Amino acid sequence: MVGDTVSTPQDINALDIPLLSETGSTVTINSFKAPVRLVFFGFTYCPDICPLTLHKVASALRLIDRPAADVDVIFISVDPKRDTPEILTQYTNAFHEQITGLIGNVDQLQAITKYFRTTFGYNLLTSDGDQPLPLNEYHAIPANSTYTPYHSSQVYLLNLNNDIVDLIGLGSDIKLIAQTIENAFN
Amino acid sequence: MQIRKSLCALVLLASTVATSSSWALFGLFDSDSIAAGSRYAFIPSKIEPRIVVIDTQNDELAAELGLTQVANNLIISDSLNLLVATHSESSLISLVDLETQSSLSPMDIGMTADVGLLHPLDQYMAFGNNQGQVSLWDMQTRKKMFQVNDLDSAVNLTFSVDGSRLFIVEPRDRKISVVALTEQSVIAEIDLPEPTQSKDNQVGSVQIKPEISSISRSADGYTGFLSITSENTVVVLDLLKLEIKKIISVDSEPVRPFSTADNRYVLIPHRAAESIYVLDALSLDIRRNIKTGVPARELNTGWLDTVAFVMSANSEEIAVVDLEKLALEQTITLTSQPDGGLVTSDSKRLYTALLNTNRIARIDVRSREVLEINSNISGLSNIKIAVSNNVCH
Repeated sequence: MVGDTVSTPQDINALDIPLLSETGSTVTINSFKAPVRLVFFGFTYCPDICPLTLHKVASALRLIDRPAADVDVIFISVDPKRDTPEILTQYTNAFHEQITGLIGNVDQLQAITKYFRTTFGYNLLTSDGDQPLPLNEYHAIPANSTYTPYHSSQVYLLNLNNDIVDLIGLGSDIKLIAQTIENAFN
Repeated sequence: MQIRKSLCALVLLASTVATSSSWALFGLFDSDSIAAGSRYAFIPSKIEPRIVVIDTQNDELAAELGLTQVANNLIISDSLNLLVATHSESSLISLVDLETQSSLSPMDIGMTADVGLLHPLDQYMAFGNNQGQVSLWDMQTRKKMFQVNDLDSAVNLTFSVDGSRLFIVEPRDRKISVVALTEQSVIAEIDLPEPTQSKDNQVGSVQIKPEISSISRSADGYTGFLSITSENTVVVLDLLKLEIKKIISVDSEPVRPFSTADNRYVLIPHRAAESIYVLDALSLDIRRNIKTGVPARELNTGWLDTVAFVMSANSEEIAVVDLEKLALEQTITLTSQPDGGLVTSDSKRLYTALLNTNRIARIDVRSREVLEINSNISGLSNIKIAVSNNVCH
């Protein structure tokens, strides 16, 4: 039986990959020590799913009314070209003070998203429509070019053993998200 | 995105919207909103003009909806709070406001609809039929955008990941027609491979229509996979270049392939061989042949793609495959044959109608616990949830 949680020991170092925090310091996912950590991939230019998800998560945090040290929300930008620490700070602060934005390069993001069994990538807008942009070409395109990242829309709940204990899916309401976070403490 | 701009630029054609007071919808429980379509599972009956609605957060009956005709297909738009039901042998489609559970005036789409498909932007819907007609509608304005006729068949539809193209598998003509939404016409055709032996597709001098699955997309949307079930072949498509990338010989009677969300595997379930081929998504090499002992009807994965459920085509069984160990884990026996399955967007629950009964089975993807939910509606099949997409574009 696969079991209730997902852990991938071979990739465990993915949670120790150094990333740039919105404060400018270098951190890893394991630097966050709350018993429940929520990890979400996104980008600040995202018009719909990212802000909606962060709004719901922030509202759920207010609903459960736990000490700030109990829950860390980690927002990992898949768009390091546009998302600077300053932009991330402004963005995450707009939702909740327990949300911290992190930035990684494409290689780092690949290792981390593999741990969470998901993918990310970029589409370049051309006159022929959206065209895939190979990950190794992302660094070469200008920040003001017309590209759009794609990423998982799910929020992953990690315990201190680095197991993914639950998921918050697209469409979950605030009450369900609060309940899911509460359940992760059990 | 390009498609948003392009679709706005489309010339919208006027459509006929019929009004009939007889098309009433009856909310049999209460008038609570069931507008969060991704939270609810909707299951129509094949013999009664009614729909069961299950709340996937607590597995309770949320509503029973009445129609005036039996629905052959449901399409649910979360952003429009709209349920659309199509009906065999009728050009009228039923509309239900999920906020109020009330019926809206039906629409005459000018053709029968054997299938309906929601566009990735959640606002447009494609309808197709066995007569080779397909039409695209803006369901916000209730306007027809365009219609394509003279296809071999138009019941096997897949949108591209950005919604700019519609792929239509035409089995008899052995091709895929590619409709561009901006051009409002077929812009390309991809010829499918000829059968390896001529006897594969003919009886005497009579050509028989091969059984071909719909196209499944890879997680990034750039690659497509389809099975030619009757010829034991899987075709891999480049959905950008609109060409065949690879043809793979597989075991007996493959059904629709399944691409995992992490782009690790492509899973090919087999009906006659009662097995799954596990393909490496990058190399497309066959990594494992897993004997399931279940003739596959379709396959769904759950809980971060760590487990696959193979629904049986002719028995009461579901094979559970551990995708970490790439091995059969167990076989779940239900009280009746499962229909197609559907996994919630958080990947934690699998729902399936028990064919021709009044019951729905819910399987907890992690614990494998099975719950059967009774309803007052018989002949259930063809379950739908509004959004199962877990990728943000």
